[in-house]
Amino acid sequence: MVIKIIKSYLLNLNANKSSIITGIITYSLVALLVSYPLATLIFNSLGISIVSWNPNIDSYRTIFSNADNWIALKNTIYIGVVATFLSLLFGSSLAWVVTRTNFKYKKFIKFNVFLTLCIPSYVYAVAWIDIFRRNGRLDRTLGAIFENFDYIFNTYSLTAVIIVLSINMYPVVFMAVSNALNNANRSLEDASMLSGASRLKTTFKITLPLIAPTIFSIGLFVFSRIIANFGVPAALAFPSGVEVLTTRVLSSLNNLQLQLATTLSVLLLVLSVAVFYWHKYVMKNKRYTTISSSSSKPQLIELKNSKVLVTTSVISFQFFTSILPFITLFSTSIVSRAHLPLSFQNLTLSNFLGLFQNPIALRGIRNSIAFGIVGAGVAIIIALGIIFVSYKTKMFGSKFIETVSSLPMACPSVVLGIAAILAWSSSTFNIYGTPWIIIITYVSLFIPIALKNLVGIIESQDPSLDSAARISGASKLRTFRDITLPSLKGGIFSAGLMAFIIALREIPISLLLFSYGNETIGVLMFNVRSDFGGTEFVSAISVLVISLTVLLRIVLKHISKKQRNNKNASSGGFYANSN
Amino acid sequence: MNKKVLISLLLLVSMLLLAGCGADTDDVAKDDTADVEVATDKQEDAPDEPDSEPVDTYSREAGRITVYMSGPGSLAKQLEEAFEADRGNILEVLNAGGGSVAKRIWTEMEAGEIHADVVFSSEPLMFLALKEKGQLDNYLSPELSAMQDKYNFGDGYFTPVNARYGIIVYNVENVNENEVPTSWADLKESRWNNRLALPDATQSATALAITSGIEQIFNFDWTFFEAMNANNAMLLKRNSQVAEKAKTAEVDAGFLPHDGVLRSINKDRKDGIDSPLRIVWPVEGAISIQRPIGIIANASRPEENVALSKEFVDFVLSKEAQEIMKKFGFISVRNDVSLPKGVPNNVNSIVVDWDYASENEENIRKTYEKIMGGN
Repeated sequence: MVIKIIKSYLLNLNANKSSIITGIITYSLVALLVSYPLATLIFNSLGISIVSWNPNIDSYRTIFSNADNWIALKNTIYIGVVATFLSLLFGSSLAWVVTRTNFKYKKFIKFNVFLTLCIPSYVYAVAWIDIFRRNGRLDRTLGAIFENFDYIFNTYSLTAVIIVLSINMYPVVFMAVSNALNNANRSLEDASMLSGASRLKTTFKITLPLIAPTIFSIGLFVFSRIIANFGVPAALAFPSGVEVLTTRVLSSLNNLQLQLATTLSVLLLVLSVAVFYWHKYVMKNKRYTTISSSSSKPQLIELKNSKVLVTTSVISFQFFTSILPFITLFSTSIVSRAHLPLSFQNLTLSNFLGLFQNPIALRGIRNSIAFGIVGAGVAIIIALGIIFVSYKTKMFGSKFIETVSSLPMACPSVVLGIAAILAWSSSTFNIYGTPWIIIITYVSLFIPIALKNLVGIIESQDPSLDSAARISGASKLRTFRDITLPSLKGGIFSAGLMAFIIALREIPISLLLFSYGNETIGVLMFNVRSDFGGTEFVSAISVLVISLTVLLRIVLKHISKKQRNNKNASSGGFYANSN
Repeated sequence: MNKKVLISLLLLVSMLLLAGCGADTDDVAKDDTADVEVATDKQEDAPDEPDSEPVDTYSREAGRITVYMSGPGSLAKQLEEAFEADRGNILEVLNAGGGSVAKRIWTEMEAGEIHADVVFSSEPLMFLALKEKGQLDNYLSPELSAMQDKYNFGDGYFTPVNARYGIIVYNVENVNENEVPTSWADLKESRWNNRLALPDATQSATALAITSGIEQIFNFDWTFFEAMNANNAMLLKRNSQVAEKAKTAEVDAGFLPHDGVLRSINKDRKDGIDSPLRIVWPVEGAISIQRPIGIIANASRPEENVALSKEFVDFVLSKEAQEIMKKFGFISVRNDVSLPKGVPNNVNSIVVDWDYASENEENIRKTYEKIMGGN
């Protein structure tokens, strides 16, 4: 096998030397940053590591013989299925209202979808607790209205996790389904209506089947993201003693049961990767919905009698799912302590000022920004290498490299964290405890995002430009530098922004890998410290993260609009909504 | 670039790739292990507890030692500065929570070498486990002469540096004067239904230590935690979250180590805010949890670093360092250092029977999990 690879290189003499070197560097980096940690994880679960050779499947037997692991698996799938269903319901209904009806406040819907997209899932959990906890906002409000009010509400449960995650994920569904509805052939629906079918019947018999493949594939994607989520179940299910796979991985690590954490991670990895690639497979084969774009002015359905009903339900749904959580976080962030009432004398900006004065907070923000920028930069360079190798040269194994490097997108972040711990704490590569372990793991997380962004542009390009350059005597690498790279500028920038947005909200990786001095925003949000600040502080950080995300996403939107005008469609925007 | 380099690079890459895709795994992985000189004959029976031996490699430079230290970051910094004041930059301090320090030591142990010279962490159970695995050097510090008797244990494999007290905290705004708990037993009462929070013993080693201590008071009849479960006590991943939830009145009471509560109250006072938190020193005894220090066994450690490691152990046990730690609310093990502000003189405390807790750790955790899990 090895000899075969070498031979193919040596035979491939038409590729010039610099291309080969670029290829080798790219292959090595992908192997080191992506394959090596994941392979270490898998081998470790089978009893194989650099220091021990004892292949067995005992750890798998152990995890399946423990009822708690089964319960965690069951909870994971339960949350996944129900929350996916709900987010599909929310997202597609809103998409239908926006694309198919004469609903008056479409801008309002789009604004709120955008805001929801900018609120990290864990921040939603924080807001949920703030509202629904005992002596929380709801309790205090109701207590002020009714005398002797006894507040009974299960703040912490799987239901809470499901509600929060389905709200968090519905924008993704909304974007995909709106897209599909806009591209679906309208004449079919018109024909149905003309033939006398009711609006309802047309929606269910014509529209729904048309976009069913989109819904199915986006559902799989949402499912894979939900089962990968760590922050929300950790905040909302754990306090009642309920665990899912992701939280159980961390629990077993906390119990120093490394083998258990490793094996559970592999289980989670297999599940997520399977679902993710199923999603990709369905995506590839759903072409028939996008046969034509309707050139005629679309016939919008008039909401006659149901107008009031639709308007109130849409507006109240979105008010409660995006505006209210934000207001809650904001109002907690401007009182001096979270337990004090929101009155004039308690108002303060000290929590926000504290973010830039408290050394730990300042460090966290600085680290997140630095790790995000460095991680995104390196990831983009590697992604460019992969694109060069697999689109501009026909090097051996280039498609394989592309597939391998897109793996981290399907990986739950908790799994990437565990893999990093195992891979980077050996004597050969000991960077555990340095910022580098977080940065390297960020790189592996960002490579697929950069790839996704850039491949979309590359595929839409005319190869004749490259040929022209080649004929004029430029090497492949030179062609890539002078012809391809400039056209990728916008894509590179938006990939960088997307990666950066993730770095701002990412929790599990930094939580597993940080040490003093290497805290990130995610760690600050998750680990409230006694010498540092409480809920009010977490709210202030949350508001900061949301504001920054809104800002970055506006820039991102602007860029992708420009790109679309250049007919270089960049795809995969919603993938950035992970974590 | 000559051909040899090229080919060897290619070989390396393809090996890694092969490892990645899982083809021919046997050969590749065997080659990997063959390079590393580690005794593979003495292998683990249970996958959970590999019987690792201290290794013979020391991968750090001489003249500088690495210390893994849990506890507040600012404390770590002050200790480092004080130790380095007239010695120069010779300390590499890695500060993280007690859980993270333990995780790290365990992963490094399994990967072949613990990269710390000295470990100063949050409870003795981890040190007992390390001692069991032969990972600790024996060192009896001359400072032991000034130590209170009750803290003199560890046989030199590890030495208690200071103590924290597991105590009850409550929110004064939500707990009537006549229902303020005075004992651990008080928390068993049903009036605390939906009003309690506690750190989860399956998540935090310190919480496990407090759990052992409380059960020690109740002779391990587990009635206390059965009552906690019946009262729907909220389980939290971290000790400090208990104080936060009590402060925001999400719960009315809970238990955790005292030092975090003291620091939170102090911080509020500094900001001109009256903290609603109050500490109860339970009549049966606050649970005294010692934070030990120990030197990691490593046969190839340079002499210079052996000496430095011992010097650092002496330093944290010295009066100077103990006074610094007192400011952070920790209770000194020395008999010539007074109690920190906020800890009354007559506090009744019990030291956990660590040997028992260590031997029965698995059992305690399992019983706990069975009682508290999934309500």
